This record gives sequence, C-alpha cells and structure tokens, in this order.
Amino acid sequence: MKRSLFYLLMLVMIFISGQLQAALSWTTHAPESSEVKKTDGHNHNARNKGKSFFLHDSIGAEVEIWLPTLEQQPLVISKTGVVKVKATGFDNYHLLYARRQLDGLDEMALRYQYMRGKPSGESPGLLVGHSKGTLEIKPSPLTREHRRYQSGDTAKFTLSFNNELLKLQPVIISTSNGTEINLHTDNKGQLTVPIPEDFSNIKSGRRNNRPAEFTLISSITQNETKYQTTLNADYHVNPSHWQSRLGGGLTILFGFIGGLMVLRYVRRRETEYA
Amino acid sequence: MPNHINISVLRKLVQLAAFLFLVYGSVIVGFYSVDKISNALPALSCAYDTKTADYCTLIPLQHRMDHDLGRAILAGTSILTALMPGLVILSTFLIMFVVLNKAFCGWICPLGFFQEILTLIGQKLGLRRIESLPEKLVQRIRPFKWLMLTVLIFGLPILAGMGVVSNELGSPFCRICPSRILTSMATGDATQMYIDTSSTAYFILSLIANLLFGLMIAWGLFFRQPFCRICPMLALHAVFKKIGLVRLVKNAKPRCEKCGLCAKACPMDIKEIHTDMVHKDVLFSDCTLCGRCVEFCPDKDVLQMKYAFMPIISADPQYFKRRKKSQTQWEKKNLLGKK
Repeated sequence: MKRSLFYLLMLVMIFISGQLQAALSWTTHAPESSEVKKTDGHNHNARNKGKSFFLHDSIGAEVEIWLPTLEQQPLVISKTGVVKVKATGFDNYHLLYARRQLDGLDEMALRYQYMRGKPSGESPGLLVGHSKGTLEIKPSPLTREHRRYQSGDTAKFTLSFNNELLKLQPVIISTSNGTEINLHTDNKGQLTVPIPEDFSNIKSGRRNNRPAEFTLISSITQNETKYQTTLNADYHVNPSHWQSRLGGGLTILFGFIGGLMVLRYVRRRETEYA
Repeated sequence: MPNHINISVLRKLVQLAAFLFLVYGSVIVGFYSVDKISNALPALSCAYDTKTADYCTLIPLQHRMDHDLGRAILAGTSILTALMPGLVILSTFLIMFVVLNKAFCGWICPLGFFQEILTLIGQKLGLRRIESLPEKLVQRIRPFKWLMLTVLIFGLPILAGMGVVSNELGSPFCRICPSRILTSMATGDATQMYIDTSSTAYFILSLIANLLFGLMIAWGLFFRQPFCRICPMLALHAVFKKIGLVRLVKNAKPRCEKCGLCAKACPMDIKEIHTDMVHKDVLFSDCTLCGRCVEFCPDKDVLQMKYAFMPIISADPQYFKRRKKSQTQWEKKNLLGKK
C-alpha cells in the first residue's frame, strides 16, 4: 500500500514537473537547451538600457509590456522565444504580460520588471491592482526600494479567479536552481511562499552572486476551460551569509559602552582641572 | 492656557505623530505611498524601513550622484542631462522645505525625536546631564556636518560613479545612518543591525554605523541631540535656509546681553542666539527651529518665530513665567532625585 502511494506521488510529481516545463512563463535566462545563450540588459551597469527576456512555450502567445501608467505596448517574440524590450523612458515597475487563449485553454504569464527612466508619477499599486486575466497571482506586496526577494525569507501573494480570492488552491513554486515545492493558498486566499535556500557556491557579497528566479504556477479548470497562470521573479542570496546580526548587536553595545566611557573620562578630567 | 500645555508639549505631540506616520505610515496610506508623497523628505526617514510612508532626500541624492552624474563624467556625456534627475529630487525637496524650513529637523525628523526621548529618559533616570557642551567643542563639531554633506552625499557617490573608488561607496551615508537602524528596528526588523564581512569597505561602514548608533544612544542620555550636530541634512537645510517661510527673528534689547536663557534652552548649543546683538535674522546653520529659545525668552517680542512676515510664536513674559513654573512642576513630579 505504502509503495503504491509512493509511486502515485512520484507520478504526480513527474506530471507536475512536465506541466512546469510546458507552461507559458517568463525568464531572464534562456534554458541551456535553447539556441539563445543569454539574454541582455540584466546586469547592474545596463540598468538604464533595454532588456531581453525569454518566454517559455511561447508559440501562439501574445506579448505586451505594460507601463506603470497601464499603457500597453505590443512586443515581438523571436523564433527562439526571445522578447526584446526597449527602454520605455519611465522609471518604476513595468509588467511583462503574455497570454494565449485557445479552445479550452487560457494561459497567462506575468513578470514585474523594474525599469529605469523619468518618474512615471504612478505607484506600482496601480499596475499590481489592475486585473490582467481570469486567473492571476499578485504579489502582496511587490517588493519596494531597497528590498528584494531573498532565499530563506517568505513572500506573500494572492491568487484570484475572476477577481475573487481562491482559497486552498494548489500552487507550485519552481526555481531556476532546481527546487520545486507544492504549496496552497490559505483560507483567506493568501499564499505564503517560503523562498528556497537553494543557492550553491555562495560567494560573499550580493553582487558576487547572480540572482536566481522562481516561478509560481497555478491552474484551475472551469466550464471545460483550463486556466493557467504563472508569475516569475528574481530572488537573491540571503545576505545573512555575509552579514552577522550578532556582530551588529555587539558593536552597538560596544559603541554604547564606549560612549559612556568617553563621557566618564571627560567628566573626570573636568573634575581634575576644577 | 493650562500650565501643562505649552509649545514643547505641542511639539512633542507633532513629533510623535510624524514619527508614527513616517515609520509605520504605509500601513495606513498604502505600501507604495512613498512614490506618491515625495521620495525627497527633508528629514531622516529611511527607505530601508519597510513600513515608511515617505523617505529622506539623501537616499535618491546619493543614487543620482553615483548612477547619473558620476557615470556621465566618466563617459564624457552631457553633465546637464545627468544632473536633471538630481535636480528634480532637489526641487521636490525644496517645495517641501520652503513650507517648514529647518523645522523639519525640530518638529518632523524621527531621529531627532528619538534623541529627545533619550534625553528625557536620561533625565527621568536622574543621570547627571550635561546642560550645554563647552563652546570650544561646539565650534569644533560644527564643520563635521558640512564634511558629511560634501564627502558622503556628493563626493564619494560621484567618485564611485566615476569608478575612482569602489562602488560600495555609492551610498555611504545610508550605510552609516543611525536612522536606518532605528526605523527598521522600530518596525521589528533587525536585518539592518549587522556587520557586513563581504568586503573591507562594507565591513568598515557597518562597523561605523553600529558604533555610531551605540554612541548616539549613550550620549543621547546625557546631552541633547548628539547626532543632529553632525547630520548632513542639517547642512543641506543650512544651504537653503534663506528661502524657507519659517523664520527666527531677534529684536535685541540691552537686557539680552545679561540674560542668555535662550542659549541655555537651545538643544544645539547655539550661543550666538544670545550674543548676536546686530542681526535680526537669527536662524543659524545649526538651528532646528524647535522654538525653545522663544519659549524661554522672558522679554516681550525679543525673539519671534515668524511664518513669512506673520509672528506665530513670540517671546512673552507671562508665558515665560508659566513655562518656567510648569517645567519646575514637571521636574519635581517626574525626575528621580528631584522629588
């Protein structure tokens, strides 16, 4: 009995993995099997320039970039699945949007991408809050300046179907470092994602470690139509690998004691001179 | 007016409200409110605080010096174009600054408020206070705020952008700012209290940040506003103080020479407010427009805080008597060793 359950579970996992491979989803790194060796514009020095992305399983998909103002601009997918995005001239989060609607299938892939330029005058709340499709995973909230998704942290999302939060809905997180975890939304429709601590060969310093990516995927079938959605984002090595909080606390204490000692010394000298 | 209601109490209430809004405000006004409010607040409210409603202008200024100006100089591209984003930030800062002038320090800044609370705790604990720092020491400390502004806000970020110094020095002030540790810890996030071993520069900066924070707490218990005296925001305010609508005006009288209560009341130890008998404009570079000098001036209208040309707080002998009485009562009631 136990053995059959184990095989069944394995089958389910293989099925899910297969689903992930096939899902319409964004990434900044083209898969090794692809003809595309790398995508551009993702290093620190190219932050003001255009960027290119790779869209998995892109055949038949329509792609757009949404500006912070919700203005939508069509994009072109190359035969190899590469989507080049020119600098829009606006700052703040943009949305990479891909959708494919076939008979009995409605797929959507999203990625919120920070672009540099002049202030758009709009808050990311507008972009995140706007409904993009039937089944949608939304960051709750989207990381703000000086914050990023980090390994070992938890991140929150919501999952909605026709703008109604979905309770106890299965979601899979898959990372470019090879981790896959099955999750589900809670009773309120909130999804808490433990970002895996799955980096290997960690070097000291954030800029010395390339970020990895995670993709959240969920699907639901209703009225003979399968709705599938993916959300892709970068995550970084947790700085706790090279930052010590205990050391921080101790040096604050040292500063405090040092401050008291300096005052004591000054007072003693004052008394001596008096 | 009841004894316990005075300008100091009113200011503390404003400071408390500002602290709550700036440190936790996004919970009420929305997570992304910072994009809507200013991004260029003339007070040390930190972007590393995940719940902040708005953040300080020094962060984007350092970024612009590093990413735009420094890199434009290196690449030999148009300096004017590279300066534009920085000028937009400075303009936003100025629009806000004009309204309150240096009062952003004395009435709004979360770090300034925290230091005042520390001094209050020190008083309550009956610690032997240093009422005023020696004048020589005050004079020696004063240039540090300019050094902080020129080196940490402009100099090093530009050099980092040009590749002359390591890019770890792209936002050096934020790396050592006590407000980063304070405001993030106030929201229950201890991730900003760290020693960073990833590089020598980060190690030294994190060491300075923590030592400075510890030092500020220790000294804040014994004397007033230890960090404010070297704060680069104070220097940035000083550059533009002439255009702010809030003014501090002195109508000197011969009695001023003997009195000096205003200088004693000043948390920044600005002796000149007492000794200057010539200038009407007594808004000095170190002033935080807290208004204590006006409160503790016993002569009618000698010191005034004005909004444009309208007096908003004026020295008044009746108020002075009441204020003195309430101070004595408060000390008797609250301070250890004074009962």
